[in-house]
Amino acid sequence: MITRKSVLGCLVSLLVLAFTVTPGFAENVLRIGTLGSDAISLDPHMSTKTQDKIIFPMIFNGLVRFKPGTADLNSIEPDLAESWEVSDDKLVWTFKLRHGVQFHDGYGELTADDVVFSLNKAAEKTTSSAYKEYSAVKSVEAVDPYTVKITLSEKVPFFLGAVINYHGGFILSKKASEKLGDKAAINPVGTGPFAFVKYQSKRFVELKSNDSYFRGKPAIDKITYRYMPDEATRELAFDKDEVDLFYGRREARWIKNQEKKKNIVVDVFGLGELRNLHLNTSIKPLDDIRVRQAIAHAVSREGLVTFIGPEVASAANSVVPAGYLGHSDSAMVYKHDLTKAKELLAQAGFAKGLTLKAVITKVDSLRLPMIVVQEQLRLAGITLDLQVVEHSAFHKLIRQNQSSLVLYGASRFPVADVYLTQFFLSSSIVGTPTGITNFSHAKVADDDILKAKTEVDSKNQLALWAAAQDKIQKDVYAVPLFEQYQVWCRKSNLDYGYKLENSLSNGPLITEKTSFK
Amino acid sequence: MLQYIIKRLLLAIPILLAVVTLVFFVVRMAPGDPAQVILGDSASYESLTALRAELGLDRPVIVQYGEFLVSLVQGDLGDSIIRKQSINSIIADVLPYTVELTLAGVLLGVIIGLPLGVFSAVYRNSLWDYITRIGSLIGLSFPAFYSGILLLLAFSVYLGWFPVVSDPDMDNLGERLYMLVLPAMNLGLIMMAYVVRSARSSLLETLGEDYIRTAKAKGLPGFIILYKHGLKNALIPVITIIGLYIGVLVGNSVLTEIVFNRPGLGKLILSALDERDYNLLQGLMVIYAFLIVLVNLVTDLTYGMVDPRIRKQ
Repeated sequence: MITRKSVLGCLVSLLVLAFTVTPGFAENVLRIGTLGSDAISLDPHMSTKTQDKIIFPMIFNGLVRFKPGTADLNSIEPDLAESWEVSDDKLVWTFKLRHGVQFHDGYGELTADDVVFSLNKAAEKTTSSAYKEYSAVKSVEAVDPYTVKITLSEKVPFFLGAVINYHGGFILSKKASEKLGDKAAINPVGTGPFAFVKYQSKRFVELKSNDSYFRGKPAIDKITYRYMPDEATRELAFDKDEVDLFYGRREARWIKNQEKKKNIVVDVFGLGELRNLHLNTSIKPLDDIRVRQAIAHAVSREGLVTFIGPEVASAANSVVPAGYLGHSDSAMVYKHDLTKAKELLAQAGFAKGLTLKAVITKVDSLRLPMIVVQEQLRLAGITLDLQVVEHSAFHKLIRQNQSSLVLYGASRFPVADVYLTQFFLSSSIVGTPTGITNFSHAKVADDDILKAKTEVDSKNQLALWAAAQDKIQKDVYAVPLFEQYQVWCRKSNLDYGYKLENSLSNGPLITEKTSFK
Repeated sequence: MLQYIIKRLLLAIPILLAVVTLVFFVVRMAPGDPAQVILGDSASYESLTALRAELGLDRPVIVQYGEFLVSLVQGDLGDSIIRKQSINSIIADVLPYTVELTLAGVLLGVIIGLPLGVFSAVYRNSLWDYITRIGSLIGLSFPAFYSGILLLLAFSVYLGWFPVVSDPDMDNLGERLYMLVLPAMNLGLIMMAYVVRSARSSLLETLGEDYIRTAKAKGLPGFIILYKHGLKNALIPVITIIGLYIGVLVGNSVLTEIVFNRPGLGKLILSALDERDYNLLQGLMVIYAFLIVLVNLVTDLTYGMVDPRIRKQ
């Protein structure tokens, strides 16, 4: 028989249970709510997905690193290498390794063999998605256990980028990789401040403090890095104190609402993802420069920034993101001018307007700005027939040359060469065997981009990159729109241990100095 | 009985085959590329082509289909294209979460929905009947992700009784049950709405039958009339609805798993679709189709338990 006593008993036990099993209360456990429903791979040389990129610098080191909180190429500092030298012709790089750096899980001391193994793996097509960045690497040799010599076949624009704590530059344990084989991709072994403990597919990755970390014992004991695909759940979990740090929404109104809450700090930081509107010149009438110029005049980047919010976006003035080495502020930018746009369309024979077909992903960060662009173009007499498709389909279709306009957002290693090569060099034209993301079929800046790659004098190199940006923008192969920043929220007592201004991984770097105050 | 079960299971084979064949070809027709997911958006056409060849995706689709069928017959669903893990083990890891969530949702829906349906039928056109009917209509109209967020706001954020992240450790029974409450409630509300409506209408029809009037004329107590003569005869349509809507619940479990950040087949299927992990998607479809066939079989067997006439047939 159900009595009032038994009902009360059940309720009390449920409440006791609530207090005893609510996860994570230890102060030195950092609980992160990240985007995505799962890891793609925990091999730092393979995955380029944001949810994976954030976790890699916690586990691995490079030979050099950006000073935490920055992505400034002038503030690169030693990481696993304590010093380095470069030959006068910039073709031979010699790195001296730190002594006594230990890999996690007893895989021994870091030696030159691990660096040789890692860089060779990074340069191999089958084991690395960054292999192209290492095409100029002729050899990697272990001179002695603590010295590595890298010889290049030709000068590269910023070689330290290939050995930095990012993508192919992460150093893995040779012994662990050989022992674990295929399983190494889900059992990462590095030298970083946090060691991998376990990975639960679709749930979380658990890390523990690497007490013998060469920069000192981390202040955080344990990290739970939880995959939380739903934005509302991440926010609620933070409000309920189940998460200390989470990936936020890149929208001004949302940020303002968060800032009204107690015990929260909203971090808005770079590197921004640059959104360029690529104009496919292989599709008529975009082969006519007057039509492209009309589009450039019709688009209002200020209008787009107002729509997204100046707190999280800024107008772009170049097809290379601001802050990248080689970014130019002097490249030609067409001003918003609807009258001029209509005149140009009339000159091109489209006085009554024209219709363009384009595909766009259903992902809001691209779809919503594209709808604003659609409206801005409509005012100039250009009808944009938009086909909204699934994100994977979008990537496939734009690479099959199926869209006249492509709104694309990306952040890359912060050197102009990477962006210019992938988006505007003729060898990167989509649909060709070497194609990457040259959606506009641009060829106009090939000479400058190629010359800049091997230019020894850095002033000349900068001038070549600036000339390339100017040509691309003048001929309107792409219209730079805006840069959108990263948004993360953290508990106000969580201190990163550095000032967060930029991050190459799209998330805050958790270091040995990160702590709860 | 055993013969009947074997016959039904054998009949399921062509259904499973049709489902997996359809899925196999449809997912490959949709634009998208698992190689792009693995290598990222700055991968060149060359490297994408090389990876596709390495993954065997460049071979004729019919050859891939044949290989898939051979592995399937051997009970091996293959390896995930993206994660290179055995699909059998990926599914085995999360299947218990989905099964317990769905069962708890059904149980909750029936335990609450059936008495409410009976109550609503017995006191038809009363204020409580209207409240129950409106309540069940709301339950039917709410998308699972919306009701899930409302439950989280009420019971997790404001009252603080339950965690937002319902991701329990499978070895800890207490934690599992505790973290099951809200997600099960979310699914249970939907099931409850279906059960209330079908139980009410079915019982109303039964209560209008001649044998009920006879029972009343005999002077039998109201409870006996309702339970023995009314409810037992009204149960068959209710069981049909429950069996039918377990499939709907499996669909809603996708949204529930995402909102409550709970592992499960639903979350797995979404990411497999997003990443174009063809192998994983096929494997999941086999499991889903099998679960639906199983549920239908259990529903048919339950008919026999409730109604002796069906058992004899």
